Amino acid sequence: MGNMETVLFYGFAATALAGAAGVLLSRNIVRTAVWLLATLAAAGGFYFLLGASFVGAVQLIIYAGGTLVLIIFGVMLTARDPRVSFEPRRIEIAAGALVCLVLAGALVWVFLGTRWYQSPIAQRDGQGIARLTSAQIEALAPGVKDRLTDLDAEGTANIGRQLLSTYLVPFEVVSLLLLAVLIGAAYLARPRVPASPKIGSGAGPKEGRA
Amino acid sequence: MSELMRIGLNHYLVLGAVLFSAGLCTMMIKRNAIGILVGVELVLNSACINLLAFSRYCTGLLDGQVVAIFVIVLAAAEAAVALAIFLSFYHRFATVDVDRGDKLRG
Amino acid sequence: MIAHIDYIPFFSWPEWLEGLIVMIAVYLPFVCLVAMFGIWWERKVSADIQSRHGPMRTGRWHGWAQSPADGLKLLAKEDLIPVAADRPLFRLAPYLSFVPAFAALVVLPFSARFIFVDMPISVVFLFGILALEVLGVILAGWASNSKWALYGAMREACQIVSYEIPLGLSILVPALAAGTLSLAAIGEQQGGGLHQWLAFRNPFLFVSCFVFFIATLADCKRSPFDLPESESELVAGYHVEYSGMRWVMFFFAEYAVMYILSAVACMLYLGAWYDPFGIVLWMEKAGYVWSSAVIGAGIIIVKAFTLVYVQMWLRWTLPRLRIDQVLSTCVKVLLPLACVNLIGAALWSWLVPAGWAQLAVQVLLTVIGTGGFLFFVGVLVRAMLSRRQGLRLTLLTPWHAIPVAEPPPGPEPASNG
Repeated sequence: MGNMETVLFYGFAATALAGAAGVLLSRNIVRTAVWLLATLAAAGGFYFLLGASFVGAVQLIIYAGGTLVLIIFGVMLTARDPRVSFEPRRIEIAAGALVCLVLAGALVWVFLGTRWYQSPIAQRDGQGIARLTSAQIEALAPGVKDRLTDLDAEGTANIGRQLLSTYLVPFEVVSLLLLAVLIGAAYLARPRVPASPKIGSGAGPKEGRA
Repeated sequence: MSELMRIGLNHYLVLGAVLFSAGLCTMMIKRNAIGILVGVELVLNSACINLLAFSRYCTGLLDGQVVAIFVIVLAAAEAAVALAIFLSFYHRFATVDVDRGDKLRG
Repeated sequence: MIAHIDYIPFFSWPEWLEGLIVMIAVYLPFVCLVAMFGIWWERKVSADIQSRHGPMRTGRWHGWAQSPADGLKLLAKEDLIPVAADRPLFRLAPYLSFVPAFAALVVLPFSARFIFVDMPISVVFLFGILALEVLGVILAGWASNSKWALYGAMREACQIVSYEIPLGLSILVPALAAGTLSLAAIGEQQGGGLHQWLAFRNPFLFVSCFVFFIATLADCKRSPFDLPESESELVAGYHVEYSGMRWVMFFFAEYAVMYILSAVACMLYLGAWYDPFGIVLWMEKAGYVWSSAVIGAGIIIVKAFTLVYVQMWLRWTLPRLRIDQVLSTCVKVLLPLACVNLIGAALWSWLVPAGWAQLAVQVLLTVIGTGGFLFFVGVLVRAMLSRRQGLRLTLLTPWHAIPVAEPPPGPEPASNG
């Protein structure tokens, strides 16, 4: 029957695909958010399966516990009547389905048809140890070779080290970006005079600059 | 059958492709602005799955994990800004139906 | 030869089955017992503080059987779902609240040997699992289709999400001081005496312990932060429309999270499963593996329940904060404190060498901490011994020694002749 990895993969895959289908087909926006939760949790499970435990935990904290809550807050702040759904037209659904089926087919065809480069570091045996001969180590690219000693320690420490050495500039830029996002979101979502139901009215300096 | 049983790179790539298309379809179909945001999150998650699968099966290094962390952080930031924009939209048009925002005015 | 970084061994079928059986046979009863004992104890503690008896009749000794009796009653209740409620979400919400609380037990060590899963990142994983609690609350409030439930749910979500930041920073500070993200490894560094506890290592960790405790009060929705379920205003907040077994799920989740966060506080700051005298560490080193593990498990359960008692004590002592006070406490007080603690602890561990200066600071903080603890114990003991309403009641007073109230004197019987 295969080992537990197979069972877990297919279980998470079923959950993720069910979530995606629910997101597509659901009429109620709150239910869409709940189906997204299923997909996010399944994606977290995939990250744990792929050996990226820290990324999986970060996914649970930030995505499922932060972004999804933000989305649900947004739903509740903008809901007039939660039972009213905005129905797309049939031609839109047909066009969307066609485009996405073609895209999925093309992507799957490309993925299955490509011979991906598999570095010898990625070949693990039953205990997860990669056995490299010295000839293979010599054949590695120089950027990879001097990071080999890092891989022996515990994973999160290595992620931290990479964030502060190889990925230092993106790390600092992301922190500045988060500051910009904080200020921008707070400004954009500032309290204003409530809108009247007529479209096209209420423009101009009457909107309170809080 | 045994190829399906032994989980390899192809499994994750196909899954990522399907989730990506589903997210794209959601973005195209939904009229509710929040629904579009949900589609964006699906697309970003599929990209993360691909990144981590390549990191595990192709290179064996940690680059995929670090970039996946960046993707998650940036997705959260982008969701925050997107929701702030949707709130502005709601204050302006009194609905989150994006089909209403079809006049270049205001 | 290179070892795998985050290798997850995929165990064989018997090992998975054994793990499943341990989860069902050990952890599920543990959660249920913690919740049932917690509610009984809460009623007795609140009664003690309010100078009354509490449950006394169900079961001869201080109403110990009140909780099982309540459980039977709740099992028999009618399963009501409001007509306008969103039925699938209404059914889903209690499980979304209960499952993270139960799953967090997986990484909680009870002793050096009693860890179900020893993850290298168990602190972050625990934080992530507990961050999923808020979704159950929001969905419960929304799906109930009731204004009061929605108000409670939104306040609750606001509060929990805001307090996650000082909570997370205060979890990071001892992880930084200990140099590891694994709860078991952080616990193992605190053996050998009271001065080794992480709360007493440097002043920033000492303050961070209190920040963590206040953040857990807000995370468990306990007073003074219990606006989401403020009983005098919203009746029950987000779970007002739930009855019977669905409500039991929410309530188990609340008490389980109280216990788990108290146990995490003990693990991170207050000496894990080690006693203040270093006996358990000596036993572990001398080779008494199983007895030291059992004693360690007992010690951490006692410590965690002491913190749960402090939470209950605060609930029945302090008035409730308004929502703007709650949020301003978080953003204006706890968040800057947590940031200062993080930077201070990092600078301290970098600049201060491990020598006599460090040891002196540790001993000083130990003395301050123990002094504060003994002061509060003295306050408790004095309150217990004082005469209130002419009755000297403690939790150990036997049932039959409590006087039953006399019936008021009726009208005088008509005399003969």
